Amino acid sequence: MTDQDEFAQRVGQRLRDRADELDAATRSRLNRARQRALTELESKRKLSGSRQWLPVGAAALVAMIAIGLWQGRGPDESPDPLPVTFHESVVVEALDFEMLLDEDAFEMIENLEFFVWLPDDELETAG
Amino acid sequence: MVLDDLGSVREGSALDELRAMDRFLADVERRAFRMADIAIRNPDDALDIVQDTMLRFVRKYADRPRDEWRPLFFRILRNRITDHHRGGSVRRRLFAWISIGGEDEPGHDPVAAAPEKSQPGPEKQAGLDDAMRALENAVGKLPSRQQQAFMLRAVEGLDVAATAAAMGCSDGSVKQHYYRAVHTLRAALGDHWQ
Repeated sequence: MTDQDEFAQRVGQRLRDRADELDAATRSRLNRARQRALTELESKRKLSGSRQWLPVGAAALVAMIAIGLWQGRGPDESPDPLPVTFHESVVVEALDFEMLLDEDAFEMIENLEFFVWLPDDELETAG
Repeated sequence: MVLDDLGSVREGSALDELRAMDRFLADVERRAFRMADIAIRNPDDALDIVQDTMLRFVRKYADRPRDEWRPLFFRILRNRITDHHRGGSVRRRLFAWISIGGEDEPGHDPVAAAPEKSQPGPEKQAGLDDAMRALENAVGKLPSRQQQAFMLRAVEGLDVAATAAAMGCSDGSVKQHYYRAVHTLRAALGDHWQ
């Protein structure tokens, strides 16, 4: 070790000792400053911790909405051959009534076995 | 259950981090104060600077690896001291301008008239030994970069690379500033420290 190194080491040690000899008031103010910094760090951590759960909460909310929509739409998606509007239902009922009044329709019902037996092309020719 | 476990692990980790930060700040705060006090010769301002350094450090660098904390902390401290010097010179220029322009008290210099906080009181003065006073004065008179290099290397015990990181310069510059500082101090302190 050179003279310069020894000198620097001695001086450095004396200045470190001096730092440990601070008066009580200064030590107290330094302690308060440190506590304030730690409080800030703690609140920063809490904030970032709650933010970290935000994507999980958002994903859960989206999943719940998706499940709700899926279950809600189930019966609507089943095929429904019945007319859905008032106008369509009136038209269908009118056609049924017309069929009942038609004399040919009565004849067809009475001779149903014959019409079933008759081939389609002959039926068209007869019609 | 898993979330509870994760939560408790996170709480434990956060607590460890707080404790580590507490230990680190408690370790450096007094030397940081001495460093600032020697540089600006004003204990009240030095305390403000250390407090501001602590707050800035936890805001910006608490997430960095712990072996980087020390150079980063002293880098902030150095910047704050530099800002203080700049602010002081701006204040002096401003007051000088006001003094020149003002007619109420010609020749009055508010900075010169302000109480000198850096002078220790009589009791404190008596407690200081001559060698210590001479040492602090000599270190305080060093050029800023030499003073930083000396304080970080000899007092804080940082190696050349960490000192360079704290000072924002190359390893070669650190060696040069440190060498000159030691040389100047040896010449200035003479008999006290040989």
